[in-house]
Amino acid sequence: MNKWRFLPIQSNNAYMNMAIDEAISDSVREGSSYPTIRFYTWDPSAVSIGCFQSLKDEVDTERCNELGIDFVRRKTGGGAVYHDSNGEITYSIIGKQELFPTGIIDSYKYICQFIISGLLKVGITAEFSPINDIVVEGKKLSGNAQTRKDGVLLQHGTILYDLNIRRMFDVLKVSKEKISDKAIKNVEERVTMVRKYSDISLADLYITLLAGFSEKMDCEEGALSKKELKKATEVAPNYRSASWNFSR
Amino acid sequence: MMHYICQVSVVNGSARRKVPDGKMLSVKIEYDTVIKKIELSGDFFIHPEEGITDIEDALIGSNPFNEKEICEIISSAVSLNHIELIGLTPDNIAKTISMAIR
Repeated sequence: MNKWRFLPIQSNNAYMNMAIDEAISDSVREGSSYPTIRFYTWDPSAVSIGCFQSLKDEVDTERCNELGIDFVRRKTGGGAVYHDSNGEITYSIIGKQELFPTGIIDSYKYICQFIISGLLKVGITAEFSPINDIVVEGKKLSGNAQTRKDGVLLQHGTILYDLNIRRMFDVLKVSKEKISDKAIKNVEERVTMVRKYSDISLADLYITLLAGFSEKMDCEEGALSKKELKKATEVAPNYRSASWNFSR
Repeated sequence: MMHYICQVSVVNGSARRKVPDGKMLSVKIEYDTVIKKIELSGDFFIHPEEGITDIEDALIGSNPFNEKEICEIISSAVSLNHIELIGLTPDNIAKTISMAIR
């Protein structure tokens, strides 16, 4: 069984969060780090968009600036996510492609099963819903997104803990009529969150989600290497740049 | 002998839709008799990610009014560059381009 490294939960700004993934991807590719799973939160709260989305179309960047909310383009595809500092946990799984099923949907399913196992420990019965979601009673609890680059797979995922739907509508570009009680009710009918099923704290949710992974994998706690930290610090400004974030 | 030069002005178009059983797709296009500039965006997945530029580049200079030909160009770019589309198809893209020029 391959050895994995897990990094204890950390909170960073959006740019550093994305930069850390890039640094880990590089070190995993060159074989200087084990495949890695990390859980993290976003401080300040942030909106991330999929790598093919248009920032101008999806995010009210002026409102983000007023509220002190970061915005960043991910390297992974998928949709816009509002990452509330206290309302969700994000994970990244980074490993060489040969560790995962070849098919893209199969690899989503494979990785999502660890999150599903963790949720079951909280008493939440969740299931994988292709293409890239984890649902509970048909409602989305987790969105996931993947990129594969030069032999390394990176999968991001968000686990909704306590979503502030009004704040989400405030920063994502939706028509004014959508920011209505009816629209919020519609979101509530399609999206769910851990707090609806459990009183577990965010910190304990992290421990439980990690257990879902570590119980099935040969996993040991680690930290970013000096080289990874240096690289992440170097590339973080790229994720803050307008040329990256407004590239579509 | 008179020579008439017919200048066709460049037109902008856009369309956005959730493709059937798929993801959200937006098309922004500049065209006259041919596509001058095109940008695809949305919450879909393309592997490798650079494939989106391969598809956009392949469409430059093609006839935006011929949906079948557009679909063939996209399919060819997908095949040639070993691109995997998830949450959209060449047909979805071609139809959305047609919507953008209406």
